[in-house]
Amino acid sequence: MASIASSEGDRTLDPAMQVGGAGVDVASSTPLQHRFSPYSWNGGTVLAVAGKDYCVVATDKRLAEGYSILSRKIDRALQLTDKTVIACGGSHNDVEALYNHLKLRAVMYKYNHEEDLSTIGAAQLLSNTLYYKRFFPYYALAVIAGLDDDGVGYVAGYDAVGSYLRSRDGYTANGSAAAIAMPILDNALGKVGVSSGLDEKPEYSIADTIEMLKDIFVTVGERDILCGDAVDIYAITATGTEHEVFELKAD
Amino acid sequence: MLPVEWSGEEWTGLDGAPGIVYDLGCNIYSPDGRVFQIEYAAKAVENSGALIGLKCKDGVIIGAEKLMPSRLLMESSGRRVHPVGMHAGIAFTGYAADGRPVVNAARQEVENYHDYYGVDMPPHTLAERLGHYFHAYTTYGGYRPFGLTTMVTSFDEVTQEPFLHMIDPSGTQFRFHGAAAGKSKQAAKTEIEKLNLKALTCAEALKRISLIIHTIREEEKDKPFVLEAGWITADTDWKFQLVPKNLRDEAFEWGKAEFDKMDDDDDDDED
Amino acid sequence: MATVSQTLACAASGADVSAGRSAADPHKHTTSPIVTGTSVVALKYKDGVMMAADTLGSYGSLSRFTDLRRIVTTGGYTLVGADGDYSDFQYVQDILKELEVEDACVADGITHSPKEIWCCMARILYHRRSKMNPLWNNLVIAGFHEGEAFLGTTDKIGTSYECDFVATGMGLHMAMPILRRHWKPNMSESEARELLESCMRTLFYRDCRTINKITFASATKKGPSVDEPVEVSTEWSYQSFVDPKAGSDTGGSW
Repeated sequence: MASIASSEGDRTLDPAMQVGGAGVDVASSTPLQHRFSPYSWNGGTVLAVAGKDYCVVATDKRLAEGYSILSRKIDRALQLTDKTVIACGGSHNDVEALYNHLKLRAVMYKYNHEEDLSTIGAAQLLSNTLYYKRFFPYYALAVIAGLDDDGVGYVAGYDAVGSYLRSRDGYTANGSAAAIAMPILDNALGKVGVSSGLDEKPEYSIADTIEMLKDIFVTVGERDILCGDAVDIYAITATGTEHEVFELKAD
Repeated sequence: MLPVEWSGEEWTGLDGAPGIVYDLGCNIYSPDGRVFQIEYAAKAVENSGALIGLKCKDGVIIGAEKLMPSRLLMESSGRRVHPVGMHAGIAFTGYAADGRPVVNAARQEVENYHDYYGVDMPPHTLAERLGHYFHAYTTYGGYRPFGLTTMVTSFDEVTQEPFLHMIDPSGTQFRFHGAAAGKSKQAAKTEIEKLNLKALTCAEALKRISLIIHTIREEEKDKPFVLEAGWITADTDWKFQLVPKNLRDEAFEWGKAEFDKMDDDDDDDED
Repeated sequence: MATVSQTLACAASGADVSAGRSAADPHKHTTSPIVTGTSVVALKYKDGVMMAADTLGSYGSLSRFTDLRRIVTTGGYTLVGADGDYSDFQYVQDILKELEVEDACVADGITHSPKEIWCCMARILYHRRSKMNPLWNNLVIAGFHEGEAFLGTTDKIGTSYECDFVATGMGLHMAMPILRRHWKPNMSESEARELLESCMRTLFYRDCRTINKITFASATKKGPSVDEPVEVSTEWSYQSFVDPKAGSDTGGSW
């Protein structure tokens, strides 16, 4: 009975059912069961570039699952303070839960300290928050972007359990198409990495940076099926944050 | 340490006055079988506004005289009548702060019962559970009884009939055709007995309650009060509902006018 | 050798990894649905939101119950539709009922808005998935409040989003393409109904866990309401239905 019923769970093929994982336990003849996964892989690509007095972060608006598109207009980025934005790919349920938590912490910080949480502070808070759930992680591949205490662009990337690093070259990519976008960024902006031919770190204007990120998203949208529909772009400067939506192919 | 001494003959207060010890807690009886703390709790009720419940032709209504000790108070604050579920509501008079935990307890009981059995809690069960709750506070040292008399009205799914129960500080609860509590409850009961409850509708009863309250509060008629009420009637689809403000205002004015008329007649008689 | 997801599952439930899934396991969580409902389809239109779901409760491949209502109203403005495990949906209904009672007890005439209920449901489903004890449902929450239509959805792990039209389960694969092609803003009531019917018809043709007894529901300024089940018209004389192998070697498909 259980086997009859369980075969009606998700009507997607679970590779784990074929390759070990679950399957039939021969010794006790336990019927085959679906294994519940608390995670989903909803895509989400995040790119961020820091300049000497600005920071730009861009993330797509497609919510995908398998070969399906669930939504073409979700928000993946969280404007935490006037000069800090966080964006995550990964399992969108965890991303939302993480954002709800961070929003609360940012508000509490402001009540307690009578000033906004700094970008560097937010970066450490995000790390601690992710690491706190080290043994049942938030599946959130985060990028934090903002201005540091000197007003200089700050960009850092994270893994799901809170390991993070401020980018030395001032750019990072995370999420679904990070592996496609990163070499492009390396080539355009990298000084430290081996794929760069640059001797000096180039200084692009904020407008040129935004144009470059748009171009990269157009290219990445052609190669990664989870990436597309539209991009949220946040341009952070000392005077505040400007937001625009850039349309991609909805295919 | 209780502030008492053993004189060799009996317990006395520290000042040597006899007898006083028996009212220091509700965990001991007095020699003549009373628990004084319960009676003191009842005193708290007698000092409070009137509460009148009537089981009428088409439902049950509870009305409360909410005394307003200050003109600065918002009219809607310090509510005396509370819904505790779709089919049930309670009203209390007495030591108002004691009312909150009772309301919460009633809501929990109603919710748990529905969770467990999938049907609305029957009126007698709700009254019984609240009775137990009240009674528990009369048996333990370190607790004091609730300074409340509470009326419960709820609809019985089985008999398709709403009921009226009243619980006093001791935890005893009975079912009533008509009940009164609070200041001048004797006078109120006398007035209720004059009513023909089998023919009265809740809408009419609302006015009657207003009149009764205006009648029995003669000596303090300059102190402002708000008429609060809740009912379960055929018109509310047997759901508990706080009586809308416009109806209460109308009833208030009607009761006041009727009472003034009667008062004038009385004065005429005297002349 | 424990897999990663086993390790995660055991870490979350506090069970011993080496023990794996055994009879001695103190926790028995919902690992699979029992009586299931299939797709829920909903869309926004000019007057509000419209939703449809059939009335079948499947027990594995058995058509076990044929008159289950999978769309309910809650509060003064909202519809909630569910696919997946029916007992879990009944538990969700209990929660919704408690919310209603809480609102009634405050007695200020205010009830939760559709968006609040959607958010609340998403948090409850996420909370349960975090305990590795999920409520096995996709929920669709629709409503009309303060002059605005609302449509949102959440799955059993709490992935939630708002949308103009939505289809769950098999509907995600077979109704969504229809909706994407034909949905437009401000459709009339009859256009919306026709589009939903065409979705339900296609699902009846192709989803094995469907019956042609469908509840339609709507939430407009008049409030939410669920109609009694109806049949949608069907047409079985298409050549590919009559003679699936006709013309080519497609194995009965096209």
